[in-house]
Amino acid sequence: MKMKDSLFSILFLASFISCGDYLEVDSSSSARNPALALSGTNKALVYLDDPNTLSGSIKRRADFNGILTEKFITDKQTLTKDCIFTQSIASITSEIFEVNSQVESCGIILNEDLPDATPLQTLSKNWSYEINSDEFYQVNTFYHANKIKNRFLEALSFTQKHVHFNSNMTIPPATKHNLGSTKSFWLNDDGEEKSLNIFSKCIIEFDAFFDPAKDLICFGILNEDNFKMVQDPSVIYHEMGHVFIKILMNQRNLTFESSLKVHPFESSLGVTGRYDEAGAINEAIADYFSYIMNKRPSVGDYAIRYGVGKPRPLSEDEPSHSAPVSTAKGERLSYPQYLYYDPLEPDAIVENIHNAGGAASHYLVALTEKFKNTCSYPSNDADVIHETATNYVMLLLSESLAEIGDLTGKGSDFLSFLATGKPSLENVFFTNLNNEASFLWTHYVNPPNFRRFFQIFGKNIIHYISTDLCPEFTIDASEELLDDFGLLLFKSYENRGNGINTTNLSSQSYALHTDTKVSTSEFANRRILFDCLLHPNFPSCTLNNRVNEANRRNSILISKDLLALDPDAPGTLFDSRSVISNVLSVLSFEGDGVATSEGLAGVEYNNDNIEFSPGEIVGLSINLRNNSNSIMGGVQILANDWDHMKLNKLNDRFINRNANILALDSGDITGGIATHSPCIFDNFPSASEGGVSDSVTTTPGNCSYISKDNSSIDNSEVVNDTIFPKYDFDAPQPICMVQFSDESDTKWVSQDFFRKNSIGLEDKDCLNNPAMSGDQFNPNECLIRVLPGGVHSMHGKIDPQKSWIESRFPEGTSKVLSRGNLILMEINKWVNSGTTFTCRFRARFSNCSDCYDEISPDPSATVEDYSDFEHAGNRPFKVIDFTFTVLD
Amino acid sequence: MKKKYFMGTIICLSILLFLIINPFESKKSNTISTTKVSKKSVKKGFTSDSLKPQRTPAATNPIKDSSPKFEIVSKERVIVGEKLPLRAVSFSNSVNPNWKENYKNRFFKHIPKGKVKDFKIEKKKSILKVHKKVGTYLEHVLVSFIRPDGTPFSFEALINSQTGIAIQTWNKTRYEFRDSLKLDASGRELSPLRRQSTKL
Repeated sequence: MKMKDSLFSILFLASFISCGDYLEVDSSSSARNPALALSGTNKALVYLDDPNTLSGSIKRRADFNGILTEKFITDKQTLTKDCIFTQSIASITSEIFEVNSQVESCGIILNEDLPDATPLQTLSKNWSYEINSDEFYQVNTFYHANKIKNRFLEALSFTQKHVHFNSNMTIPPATKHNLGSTKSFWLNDDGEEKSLNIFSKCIIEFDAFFDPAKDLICFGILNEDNFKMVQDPSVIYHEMGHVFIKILMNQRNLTFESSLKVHPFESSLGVTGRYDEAGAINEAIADYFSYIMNKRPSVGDYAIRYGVGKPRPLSEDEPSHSAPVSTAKGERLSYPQYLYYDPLEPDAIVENIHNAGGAASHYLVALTEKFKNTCSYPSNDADVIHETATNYVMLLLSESLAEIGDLTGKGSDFLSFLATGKPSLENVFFTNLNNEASFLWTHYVNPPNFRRFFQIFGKNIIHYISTDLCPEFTIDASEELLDDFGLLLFKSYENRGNGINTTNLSSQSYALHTDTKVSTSEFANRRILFDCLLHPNFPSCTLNNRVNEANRRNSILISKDLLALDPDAPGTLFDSRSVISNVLSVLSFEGDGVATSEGLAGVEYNNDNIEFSPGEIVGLSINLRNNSNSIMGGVQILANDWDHMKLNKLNDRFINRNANILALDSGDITGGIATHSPCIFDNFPSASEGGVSDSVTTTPGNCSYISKDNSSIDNSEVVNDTIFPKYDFDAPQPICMVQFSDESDTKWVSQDFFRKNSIGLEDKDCLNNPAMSGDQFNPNECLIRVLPGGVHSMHGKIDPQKSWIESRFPEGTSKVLSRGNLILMEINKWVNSGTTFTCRFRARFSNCSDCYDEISPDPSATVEDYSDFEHAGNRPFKVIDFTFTVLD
Repeated sequence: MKKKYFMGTIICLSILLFLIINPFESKKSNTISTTKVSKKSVKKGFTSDSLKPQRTPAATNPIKDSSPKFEIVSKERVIVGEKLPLRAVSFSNSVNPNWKENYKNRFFKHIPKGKVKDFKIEKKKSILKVHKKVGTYLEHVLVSFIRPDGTPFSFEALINSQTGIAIQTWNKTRYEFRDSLKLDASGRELSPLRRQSTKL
């Protein structure tokens, strides 16, 4: 420590000497030591690209000698700079002017991720350090991180100005209007500005990560060859891309007043530690940021090549491809065919988000190239054209990610409380169901798969490119390009969001599925809605653009009826103590730690007999079969609660728990204990088996009526400060029901009915009992409970006429699943051996023809996606009835 | 022997104490939220011991918070959701000063000892979430630690201020190349006959 202090003193003194000297350096001394000549300039010698690209040869060990360029770094004392965002605003006279907002020192470069890490300081306004020193890499990391940060903020300024002031305003912009004073253009913690910490030398072997909780990036190293991730600027751009995706997705979730928020969550594109399509899109966009900066359709020409032998390609013409793909029509890297494609090993079948993102990254690059070749530009300068074309794509990304990640449920400033100040519009939502359920919706129930993302992206192309910035790139051209990549997975663009009930439009008011009525005057400054509402026959009225079906050649859509449980191999079951313990550990390590029902279910009961046994925690991988002749992509199986049970008596809504029973007995509350019957879906269970059905869609509580807000437990019954919980009429219910036999009948019943009438379990003996769940206790998961953290599974693709297992693990390969393929369930130890359950999983896939809207026999009929609320029901899904018997 | 007797007494007293002060079902000592259900009235309620199958009792008491102490809502607590005067709000839980410890215990329940290093729970803010006139006390935290393979990991979590159970986690660290857990599925297939035989 003393030595360190002494060293610092020497350097400190040296700084004075060098400060006095820097103007005196003559040319001969600077030739011997070029770095010396940079004193007082705030410059450094930096590598502008990776060592392979700069030298034109492939190197194992990075060698930057002779290929460095003198560049300005920063005039601050440490390696940091401010983030300055230029926002456009309108004056009272509608004059547009620009205002700068600033986040001071918005990014800080550090060396190692250690508690006492301190930023590097310049001693003589000279940022040059010995090549390969830690300081050298910190300076270079700063240079590239700052460069892409500036590019991002410029593109965001362009986006904000265009969508709010220069566009045709045919849809409400999702990009926030007031990015400046809310500081939503950068990382932010409830209105408090945050800095991004970037560590250039983390002790993690050949890896890099973005930590969105701490807002830091770490770049790893290897001891061999002095390898460092930051030696390749494309890796820096890629990781910074993840930061920008977080900013864009959450720009609508940050307000200057935290009290306006419903919860503190933030959106992410993809679930960490799992394979999913949102994660694949995230990786593709991060790769695209590298293309923006390098103008080169490959990532990791040094770093990824060092690790795996080839860089990651972003265009079919790249030599690193090993599959027979090209930029010619019909030969693109298309979805879902290439979801498992690894350029390094074309025969490998890998569920990996980097590989699966290929179609998306290649599409983004191809789209930019189309913009470059078809749009009009003020200059022929290639750099200007690249900047403008990538600005257009950045605009599309901002608009799409802002809508997808919006947890306020509004999807735009339009009708938001901040924009209108009207509490009456509080419950008007256009995306992700509502502000309560939005996190669940956009991350699990209706996450951004390839279909959802590119539908929103395509909508933005229509409104901001084809009818606006670049009319030469027509809607047909857009659809053709999407289709080349197999991404034309939708039939309409849903211009007006998924919260609006267009069946209930009138000239006076405007109904939402929440039954909220909104006066049409609220729409006056939003042309598309205003025109359509006041003049339903107005020629330009387009509430919903429909895809030109003639453009759909490669994007094959398949009916969900062709997806089914494989009758020969319905699933794989993990019930060994060690495996499940390991899974639970990993869940904790990945932030998905679950509260298990201690004493009632736990790994101590696991017996590894590949049965569902009392007390076990099991991992179930359901094996679905594709009975079609085309590939199904992005198969998602959901095990979360949904609206599949009918409340038997509308006045009897109290949850079957001791406190409610006592209060009803004493007359403190009136009504009755709720009972539920399973609704009939796909003829199961039949009426004789206990199934119920109805046809009135307007009566809450009915099977035909789907919960509009996914609200589950109603705590509004309060007597003497005590809450007596009851179900909402259409409360989403846990997915498993039980077979119950008495003297006359055998029926499928709710778990609550069974625990009460068959085995007589008290509340405390239920899974997730009141001591764990409090007022959220639901006895309909008393016996079988799907564990949070394991409520959905993802499966990359299923080949035609095969099951997922057959597609993923061809004959002769070992069956190795990942935890993202598992649903986790607890089985109550009090369940008798021989008890039979049916759990109603819901499944869908991205290229599904009838999971997102109803097929109409009339091709000219209006096509509308299911509204957000429908995802609380059965219609967007194939219901998979999975039956099993508990055996000791 | 004496030690065993002492431990037994402690366990019995803890169970007794829990029966008297069940954090959810029993009377709360908080001026904001009190329940009417007393120990005596619970006895009159639904019991079904006669129907219950005979099983070995659970080895572990599911309730950790045997003696929770409650505090009145702090002025530093951020209120999110509906804006109502506190007197119009009913409370679904209370604040247990041991919530952080409870969360930590739950976190480590499934992790072998010594596997995780530098485990930290940093409170970001305390929240009172009001929805449909019901208030829930929550804690917004940042959790960070070093995993067994030496890689740092962190996430944000919203935790129930009474039970210490995480309601939601988000903003998890995103590694580029770390593989997720792999599970050998050979020989673990469910047989078709078993499933079909159970259908009605």
